[in-house]
Amino acid sequence: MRILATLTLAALLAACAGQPVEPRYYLLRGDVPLDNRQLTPASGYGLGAVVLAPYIDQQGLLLETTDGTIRPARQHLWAEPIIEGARIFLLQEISHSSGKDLLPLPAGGDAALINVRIDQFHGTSDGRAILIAYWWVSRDGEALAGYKFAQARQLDASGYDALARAQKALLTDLAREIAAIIPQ
Amino acid sequence: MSTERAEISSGGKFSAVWFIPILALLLGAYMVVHSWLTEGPEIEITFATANGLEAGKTKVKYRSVDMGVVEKVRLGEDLESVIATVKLEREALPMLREDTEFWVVTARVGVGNISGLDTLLSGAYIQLAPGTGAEGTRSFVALEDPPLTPTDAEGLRLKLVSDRAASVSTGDSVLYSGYKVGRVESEHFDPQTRKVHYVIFIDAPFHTLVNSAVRFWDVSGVSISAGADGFNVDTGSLDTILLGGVTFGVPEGVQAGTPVEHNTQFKLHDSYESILANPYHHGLYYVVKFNHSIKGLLPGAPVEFRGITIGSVKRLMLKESLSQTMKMGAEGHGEAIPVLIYIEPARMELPDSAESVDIMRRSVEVGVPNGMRASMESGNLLTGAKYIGIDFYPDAEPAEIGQFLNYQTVPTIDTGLGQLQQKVSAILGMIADLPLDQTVASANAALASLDETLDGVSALLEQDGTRELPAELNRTMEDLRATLQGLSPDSEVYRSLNSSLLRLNRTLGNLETVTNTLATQPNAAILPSRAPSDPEPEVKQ
Repeated sequence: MRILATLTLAALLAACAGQPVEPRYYLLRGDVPLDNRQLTPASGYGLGAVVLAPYIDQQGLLLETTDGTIRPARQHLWAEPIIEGARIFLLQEISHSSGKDLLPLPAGGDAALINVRIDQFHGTSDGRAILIAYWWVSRDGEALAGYKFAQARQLDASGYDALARAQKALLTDLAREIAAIIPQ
Repeated sequence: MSTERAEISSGGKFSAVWFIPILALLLGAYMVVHSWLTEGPEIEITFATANGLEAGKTKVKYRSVDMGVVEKVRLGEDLESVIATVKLEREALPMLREDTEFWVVTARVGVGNISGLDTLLSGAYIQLAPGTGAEGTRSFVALEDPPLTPTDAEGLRLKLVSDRAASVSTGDSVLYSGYKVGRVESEHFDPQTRKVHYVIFIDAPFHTLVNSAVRFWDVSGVSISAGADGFNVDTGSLDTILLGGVTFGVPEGVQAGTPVEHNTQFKLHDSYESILANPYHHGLYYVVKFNHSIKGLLPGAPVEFRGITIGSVKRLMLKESLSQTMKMGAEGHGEAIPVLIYIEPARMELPDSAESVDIMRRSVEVGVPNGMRASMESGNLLTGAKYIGIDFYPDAEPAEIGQFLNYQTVPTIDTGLGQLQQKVSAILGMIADLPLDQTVASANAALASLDETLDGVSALLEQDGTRELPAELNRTMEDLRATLQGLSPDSEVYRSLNSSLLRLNRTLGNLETVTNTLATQPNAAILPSRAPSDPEPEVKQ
């Protein structure tokens, strides 16, 4: 009996002694110039709600395989919750594109809010990244105008690094379109 | 001295002396025959009294020609009459018929006329009015009063029946459009029927104005009526104003009738207005029964077919209903109230005839299976007056013509308005039954209690401690605002809490990964397994 217990413990220790796979983390941030300056808030505008489809809200990057299934990656993960990353990324890129600093909170009680809802945000096994989103401007709970953004971008290389870059580029394109409505 | 000798004849010659007695005999025979041939009849006339009669003096006249003389006056055997023996001229013989009339002509002063003034000088006489009946009558009964119309006068004699004597009496004029065309000959009250019967005579050629459609009404005196258009005064001729009279005519809207015979009976109406209310002769009765209140439905109320008045309510048959109910032993079950209505076909532009009544009866017989129903409607919401409405209701429950005593019954239906009125009445009844007095008393008590409470509140508010409450509340609100500001998105607490939630979220994500792994590979916690590498996105070249 003692011999059997010793062999089992040895097997468990041998299993734990396997070499672990190190995951890769990707940070969803825009290319912000490194400078120090005073912020110039975008008057009359603010970023409202940023909502993701539930399947997007996962730590791993998402890949749609040829059989139509979605597989979250195990070794290629977002460095933070994607909902937070997406909100910060849009704030940075919209501010950068419009030349006005969009604040997380609206400036003024009667400011218009820019609301974003992302329905699809993943890569495909054939080397593309897809972003489908809807965004609209509202004031006092009443929608003033709405828009749709649906684009796919070809990866510049195989692998998750290229997929993360392509997804950032798609979010950048979305931010530029949003920034176009903010008066200079 | 000579001696003459007598010659003796044999006697064979007729003596002339006999002519004298023969002549006298012949004359006597002639006189007898002549007298027999020229002598008039002897008749007996019975009078009530011998007033104006005198034997040997009182004459019998016809058209002011002496036709005989009273020979003897004696009492009748019953001692209640006087019998005058009259010797008439032979020319009067053809006049003696069974309907020949006699009466004494004396000076008469009446309300409407004075007659017989010539008799004041010449004395009374007996007037003879020849008849047209069978010959041979020798005994007559004299009239107490002279007839107003000669027996042989041309015209039309009619009978009128009135519910009351009114102011019409014998001798009054009969008018047509204000012109005198006849007279009232006699009047008689029948105690059994409680009606007054008149005989009138319409002189020719005015009798052609009378037909079955005419109506007679009393025009005695002056009729004054007040309406929305002012006062209206109606009168007949002067004598009708003073003495009374009867007039006749065809009411407006009534078609002319057919000629009438002698002694045809008409109703004498009180006024023309009453004729307008009932201008037609022919109609038919029906009974309608109602299971609900008939308050406001009075005799005389109109019966309408889709707004057209076709008749009227005659009476409520409560007595008959009670009798019928008791006979059937069904009292105490709330039997329907029967109402007798009278429908006149002429009101629907049909001829005022018996044929129209048959047409109307058939129409009802056909109409009832097709939904014809009677209903009680409100004619005036203010006064509550009701009327009977007849119309077609195709969705009504099937029904048939029934029978109540000698009358046919038309099925009834409750209309929406009637039901609504019942509901409104029920609601008003409920409101009336509400204990408003108690409620008001309770409300007054509650208000008094509220006043006391408010006084207490007022006293409380005037306390110094209460007055300090708003300031204290303001301070509390300031503290609360400061506390909430500490939880705002840009506060340290919020950021710390947000960070903690993010970490918790990540931990839960990792835990989800572990649970997914264990679900697909339960031995993964014990046995080493190498997770498959992630599928790579590959760029197609």
